[in-house]
Amino acid sequence: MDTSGRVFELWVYLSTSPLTWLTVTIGAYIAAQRLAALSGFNPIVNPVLISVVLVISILAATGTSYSTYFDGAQFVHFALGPATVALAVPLYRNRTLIRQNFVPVIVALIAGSLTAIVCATGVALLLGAPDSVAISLAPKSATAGIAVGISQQLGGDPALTALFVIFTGVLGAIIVTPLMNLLRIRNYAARGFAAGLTSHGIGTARAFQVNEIAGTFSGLAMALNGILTSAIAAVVLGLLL
Amino acid sequence: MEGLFVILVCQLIGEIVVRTLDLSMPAPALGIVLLLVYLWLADRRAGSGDGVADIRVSGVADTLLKNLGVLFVPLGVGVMQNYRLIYDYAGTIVIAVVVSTIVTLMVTVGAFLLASRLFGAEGTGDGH
Repeated sequence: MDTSGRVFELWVYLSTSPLTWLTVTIGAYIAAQRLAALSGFNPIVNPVLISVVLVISILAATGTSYSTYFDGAQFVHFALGPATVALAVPLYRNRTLIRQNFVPVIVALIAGSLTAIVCATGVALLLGAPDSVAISLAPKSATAGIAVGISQQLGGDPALTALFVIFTGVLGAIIVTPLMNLLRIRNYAARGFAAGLTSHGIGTARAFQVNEIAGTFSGLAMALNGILTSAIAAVVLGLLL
Repeated sequence: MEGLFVILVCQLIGEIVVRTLDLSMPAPALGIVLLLVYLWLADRRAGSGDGVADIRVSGVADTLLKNLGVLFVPLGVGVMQNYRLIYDYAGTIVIAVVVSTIVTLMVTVGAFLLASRLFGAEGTGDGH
């Protein structure tokens, strides 16, 4: 057999191998992280967004289906569940901070969590989006592991929700600092809490770049909002739809 | 390994409870609550004041959380299956996300500041 025939045969094998797509997923993310570092961690250069675009381009160029890709990528995807459970650790670590700011934390949590669900779903319905899109939007401020689970249980589209979660995260991370400066808010606990509640992990990563207290409160808001959204999303959506 | 085991057990119990009671709540959300209880119990047994007594769990958790971004990628790539839906409703989606993100940021920060002023929480920020 000639060389090109062998190369072709090898590609036929590799293109359907889970190992290939697992490697591509992690490789794309490392490349995206390098790019983010090169940009001086500009929030617009978001590693998740860049990796998704990179991987989709590779899949499109090689004519690979999502299900073939997912056979490999599922090993990374699986860790989302345990990583969500792991949020208990920063939450527990900051328990003194929660106790000291108990009332503001609870008030802001309830107000913010309700606003996030009602506002996104309400605007989409007003503009004539179908129920499946509106439901997929509802949990978008919660961290991905939780938001996707909520969407699935309520009849939304998990992949669409994943996109909205990332979009909300990146957008919030970009606008939080200019918006808070414009409003002349200098309380970094409040600023961070808003960032984490609205934009989960991506907002938290941004908050830590700005200020240590903001980052801590952001992580706290992300964990609390994940729990609260999963508890109330079904009820709130029942009232809206 | 023990740390990962504890986290997986919390998620597994969460999964069992959610399915048995038919709750409309993702198992990992319940897993967070269970892990909190575990950390609290572990701390009480160790008798330590601050921090996290079980460093096996906190080590695994920190590693997972530090690499949270990559875990979203497989789901994000799933968007390629829905491009039609996204294309059809692009305007609606962008407006809904932009409006709700700005409004949620403002409501949350406003509620936090208002409650701090009214109830005089111990300051962590601007020292009002």
